[in-house]
Amino acid sequence: MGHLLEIQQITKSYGTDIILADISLKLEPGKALALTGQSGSGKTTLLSIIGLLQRATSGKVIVNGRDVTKAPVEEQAKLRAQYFGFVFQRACLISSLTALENVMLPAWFARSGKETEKYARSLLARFDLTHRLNHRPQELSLGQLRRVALARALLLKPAILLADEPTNDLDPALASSVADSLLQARSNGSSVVIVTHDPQLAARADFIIHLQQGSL
Amino acid sequence: MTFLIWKSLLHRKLQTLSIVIAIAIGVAVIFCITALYQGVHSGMEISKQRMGADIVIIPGGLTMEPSLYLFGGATTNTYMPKNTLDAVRMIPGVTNATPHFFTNTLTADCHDIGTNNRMLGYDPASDWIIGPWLKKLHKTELNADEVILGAKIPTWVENKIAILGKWYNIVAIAEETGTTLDYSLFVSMDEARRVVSANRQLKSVWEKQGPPDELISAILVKVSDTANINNVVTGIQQIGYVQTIVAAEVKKRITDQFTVLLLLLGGVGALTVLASLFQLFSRFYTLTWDRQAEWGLYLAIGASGRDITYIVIGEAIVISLTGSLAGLLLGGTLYQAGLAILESYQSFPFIGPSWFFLALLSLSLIGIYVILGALAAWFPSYQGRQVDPSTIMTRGEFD
Repeated sequence: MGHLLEIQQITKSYGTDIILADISLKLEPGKALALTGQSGSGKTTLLSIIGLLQRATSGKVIVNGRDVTKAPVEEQAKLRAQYFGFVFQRACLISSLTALENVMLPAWFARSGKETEKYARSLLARFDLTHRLNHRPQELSLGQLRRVALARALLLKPAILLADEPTNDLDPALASSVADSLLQARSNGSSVVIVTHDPQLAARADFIIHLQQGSL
Repeated sequence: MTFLIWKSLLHRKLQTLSIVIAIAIGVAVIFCITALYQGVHSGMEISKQRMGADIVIIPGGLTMEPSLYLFGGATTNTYMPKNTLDAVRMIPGVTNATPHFFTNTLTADCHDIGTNNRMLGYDPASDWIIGPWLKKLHKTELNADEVILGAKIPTWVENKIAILGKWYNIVAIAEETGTTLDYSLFVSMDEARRVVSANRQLKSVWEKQGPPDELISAILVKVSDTANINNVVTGIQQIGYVQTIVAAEVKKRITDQFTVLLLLLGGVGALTVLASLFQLFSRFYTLTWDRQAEWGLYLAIGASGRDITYIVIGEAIVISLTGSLAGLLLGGTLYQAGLAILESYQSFPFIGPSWFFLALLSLSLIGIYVILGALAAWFPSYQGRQVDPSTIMTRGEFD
């Protein structure tokens, strides 16, 4: 099976401060990878580089067989829309938009709003949020916010789902529910990369990579 | 994405509203001042061309504000002997002089037009004002049952009009002149005198001075370009029982008054415009810092730099457009109210700006504000494009 994502000898530094050193990994379709490590070990930075949100100081990022390390900014934006779904540490929802509208955001930027609205509704229904479609973020509970954010990440059926501490601050039952939803994306052929401190969540991934002071 | 623009603007209602109001006030003030200035300017120009009289001679003892006489259309049933005209023609420097005979329509007569307007009899032999209009109609003079209506005469029906119990055929509606002529009805001198003779209510006005056939109400005088107008005025005053109105002096005084007024209003307008622009620019400048996380999120989930530009500049354009349109509505109202207030204080030549001028002014104001809005949003949109999308990884919830 070919690799959906491959990073080769990634290094990230700010001046003399080395955040990541010589990181390489490969990810196959339908698999989940957990990135663990202490705070400040470079997990979130690595996730940002994988998701083309920032550039590595050196090394390569290869998506679906194509080296996108030096792709122009606009090209990277297109690649993000085409391949990646993001679940951030916080829900990061726009307070002027309803739950449904927040989920629809990626579709609007991808100019596929009308076709995907039905799917957005079905995602929110799957996350038991049908009765909250027209509620704004400030009217939702923490768990509901996380599920809306997850629905947003899944909307365009991304090939690679990236999640940064998705169960942080959640009670065990809710954390388990969110983890279920994340890992379920594998059944559609999506790869999942999860940054987590939660050993139970990490244990449910297909692979675990532990970072320590920027190195594997 | 247009949806995002609306949502963002509606979410920040107070900010949006305050800037829309600021723009609206700026646009309204500019619109109002420009339209008023244009109206007065046109009125001055046209009145100069149409009236063509350097001096107007009226009977002595008439205590009326010259501007009201020249531009306000006030009815003045006062008379002087018609041989005054011969004396005026003898004065050196006078190149042409033509008499007018005034009476007025009545407001209470059921066989009248219902408003109090000046009825003006003219002399076809010496006239240079009414004649050109008649030439267009291939006529040399008006018959006894014919009338030309001034541009601002309010009532006429199916080419006929009843004046003091008699029906007249309306030969033409005169072009707007910005002067007293706009409020006048033009008939032949003989007809005007006949009307005055026949009406009992008007008899008390003329009977002390003799029969109407021997009277005139005003003389319009043209002065040679080489003559000193002050000498001509002195010559006229020596005739006795007359007073002179020098049109140029009246116009200059009105122009000066309007210039001062418009400078004051223009100053207020300029300050308002500057304030609205400052608010527009500062609002969008603060966006640069306030909404970095939002734009970072958009970029992270697939928005392009062009999308961010579209959203930011789109917001600015919607605000500018809404403010401009509201300002034009407000400006239209201000213009009408301002004109009414000014007219109540001062009679002046005024020709309302054409629809074309107003449309051009409106489009220009909209265009200028939309461009300024886009300029105000240019820096934030540029900064928005430069936002590092990875900032979203470390951000908390945001507004």
